[in-house]
Amino acid sequence: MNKVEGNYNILLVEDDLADAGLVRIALRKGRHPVTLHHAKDYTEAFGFLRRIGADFANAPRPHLIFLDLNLPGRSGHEILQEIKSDPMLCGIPVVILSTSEAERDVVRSYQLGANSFVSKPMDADDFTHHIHTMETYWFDVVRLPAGP
Amino acid sequence: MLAKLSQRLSTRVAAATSALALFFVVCTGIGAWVVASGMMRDQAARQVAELARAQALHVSSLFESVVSTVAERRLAVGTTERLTVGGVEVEIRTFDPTSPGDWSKSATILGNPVGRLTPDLGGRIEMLLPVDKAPPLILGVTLSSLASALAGGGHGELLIRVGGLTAQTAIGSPPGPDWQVAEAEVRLPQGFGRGQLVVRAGIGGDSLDLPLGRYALVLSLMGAVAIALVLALAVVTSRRLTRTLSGLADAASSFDFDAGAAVGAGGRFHVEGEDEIARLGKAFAGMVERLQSAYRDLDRRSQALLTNAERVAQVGSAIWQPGENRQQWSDQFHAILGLSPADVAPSRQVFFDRVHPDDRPALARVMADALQPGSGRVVLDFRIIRGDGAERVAQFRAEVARDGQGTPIRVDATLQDITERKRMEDQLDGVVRDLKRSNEELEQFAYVASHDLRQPLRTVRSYLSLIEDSIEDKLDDETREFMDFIRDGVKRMDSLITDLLAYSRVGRRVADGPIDSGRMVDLSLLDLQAEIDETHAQIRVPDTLPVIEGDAGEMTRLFQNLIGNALKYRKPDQLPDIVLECVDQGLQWEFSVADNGIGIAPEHRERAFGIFQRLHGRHEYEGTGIGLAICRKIVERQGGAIWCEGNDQGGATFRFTWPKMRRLAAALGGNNLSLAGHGDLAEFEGLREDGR
Repeated sequence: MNKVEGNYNILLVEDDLADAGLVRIALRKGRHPVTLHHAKDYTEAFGFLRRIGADFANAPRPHLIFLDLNLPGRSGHEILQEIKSDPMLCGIPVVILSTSEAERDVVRSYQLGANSFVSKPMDADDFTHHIHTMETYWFDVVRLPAGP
Repeated sequence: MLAKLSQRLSTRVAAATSALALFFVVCTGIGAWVVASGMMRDQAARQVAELARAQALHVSSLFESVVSTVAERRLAVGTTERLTVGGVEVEIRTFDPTSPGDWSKSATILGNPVGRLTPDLGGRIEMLLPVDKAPPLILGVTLSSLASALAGGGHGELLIRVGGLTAQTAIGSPPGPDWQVAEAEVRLPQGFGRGQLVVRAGIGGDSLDLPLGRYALVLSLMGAVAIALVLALAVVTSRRLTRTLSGLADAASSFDFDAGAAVGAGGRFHVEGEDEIARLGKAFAGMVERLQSAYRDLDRRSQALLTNAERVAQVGSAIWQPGENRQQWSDQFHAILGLSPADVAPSRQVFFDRVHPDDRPALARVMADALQPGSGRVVLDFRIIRGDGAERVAQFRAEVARDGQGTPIRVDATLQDITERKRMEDQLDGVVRDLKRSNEELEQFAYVASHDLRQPLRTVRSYLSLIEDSIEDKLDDETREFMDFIRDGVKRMDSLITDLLAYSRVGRRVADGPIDSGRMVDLSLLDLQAEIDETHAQIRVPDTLPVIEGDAGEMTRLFQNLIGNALKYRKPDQLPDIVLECVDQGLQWEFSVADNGIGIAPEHRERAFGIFQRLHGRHEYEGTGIGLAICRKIVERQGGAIWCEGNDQGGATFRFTWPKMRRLAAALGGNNLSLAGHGDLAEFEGLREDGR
């Protein structure tokens, strides 16, 4: 178990504010104390992860990353690839949250090292349920290596 | 060939003539020999017979003289008297029959008197003549004249038969089987009883040999002369024959179509004379002239034909020896290069001058490759710049002929103007590229539709439910109804997008192959199991359905849509009764799905197959109205047709045909649908790019 003192930090990379809101609401209803950090694109995501610039000087290392694929500029797959090829970051589990049901997106994601692939359900309740399952799985069930 | 034949023929004629003459001479010789031999033998036989007769007469007269002498002298017993009668020496002895001496051993005197032969063969005959008066006489006669007459191989035999007794003497060598024998009878005088004297005279082969040998010699000489004459005649005749036939042979062997048809050394073939051979020669000469004329005519016509064919096919031909600059080109070869046969001497240099400078290295390379051992045929497309600057595309093909050692001896090449074909190919390539791009765009559209179009709907729906949750207790009935409308709208929009996506995917990512249509029906019924159970429908499917060509997923979907419709549009007060059938129509199958449902009015039957066409309100029957449009697309992609009919139960019968051999045209028609709306898709793509 990855018991954490204080809050769990989750980085959500998502350009759609409405979807980001749904995640936030779902996490609020969850069983774990979570601090959600929201990055809208590649620059913000790596600014946070690598603590670049004044805004992210004190950014915590996230316990989990929710990553959308369809992003403006560099795609979610590119972000995933960079995270997984960075020895400082590759230990952080990455869950792909996507509206895509295309097989090739699923296959590509796992090829690039995604830890899970979750299709966003149409229904809000289902969505909340999925998020809670992820929380339980990654925070309570899985054992991860200690961060660097 | 003909020369050899002629020589052989003349040799054979000479040989046959000689053999025939020899045979004739031999036959004549043998015939003459046989005839002459026969004649000579007859002659000899006649002479011998004469001799025998003469001798018989002589002996007869002799005996008469002896007998008369004995009668006159009355000789006492024991006396011997010699006398000569008619030139013949005769010795007469008398003896006492009671003391016969050495005679007694061989003769029984009186009663059975017998004669005796002298053993010397010298012509002496001794006989005991039984005379009526005693004493008996021994008569010894030396028949020297007979002996001399028969000297030199002749043979004489004298037999005297008296009173059943025979005395006999022989002169000369014993008779051979080939001896001529003549007999003459001698009448004995009175007092010597009844008797007979027979003279046999023979003549041996030796006496005949001399004249026969002469005849043979003469005949042989005549034969030899005749053979010599015939041989000379044969040689002359065969020389003549051979000379004429050799002339024919020479003419035949020197006859050459390619050289322009001169017979012999620069002239016509001439034959003198009026005989058969001469006529044969003349006929041959005439035939040669006609052949030449026919050949020239044929050559002209085939050249014309080839030229025409090359012009129509736009193919030119050329021949050259490897390593030589000079070449032979057909008119069309010139024409393709934009040249005239009158203006240029065909050569490798002239050819290369017309080839686009950028293409010359490639052409030189393939021509060099063709000459490499083991290679033989090359093809190359290149550009030609004609004199007027016009650029054409030509296809060059070359084939290398080799001798037994594999050394290249000739290059046969063709040149074809393929400018038009190339243009068509480029156009077709463009169409194929467009088609491919539009298919890729459609694929992109499918992705966009499934992902981006549904994303906002998901947001609306999610937040709608969040709002409902948060203000649940504050909602009045009217607001709740509004919110239901929003939810329904969103849901319908989602269905429409999903169905449109399904429609666009018909004919894509399919794997056409042989499929068991019966199994496809079973699979579709399995998918519809819930509806079937719910409606208590009776569905009748034939025991056997054909194996057809198609995609399993699409076929299942087709049956599922048709049977699903039959279940959905049932009469409220009647259990659904659905009958599926299939008829073999030869080139195609016709499937039908008949129901006893509400049916479709004739005027709406065609419209039912349109995209999102609904014939009933949504509150009556669920669905977006794309099911039949998908069915039509699936069927038409295979080259079949689908339509709807009414039936006796008042329901609808959907029929579709499924070709056994898929038609290409129909397949292309299916792809044209993909091209439609191409511009809209591009806009979609643009939107998507902006969205990122």
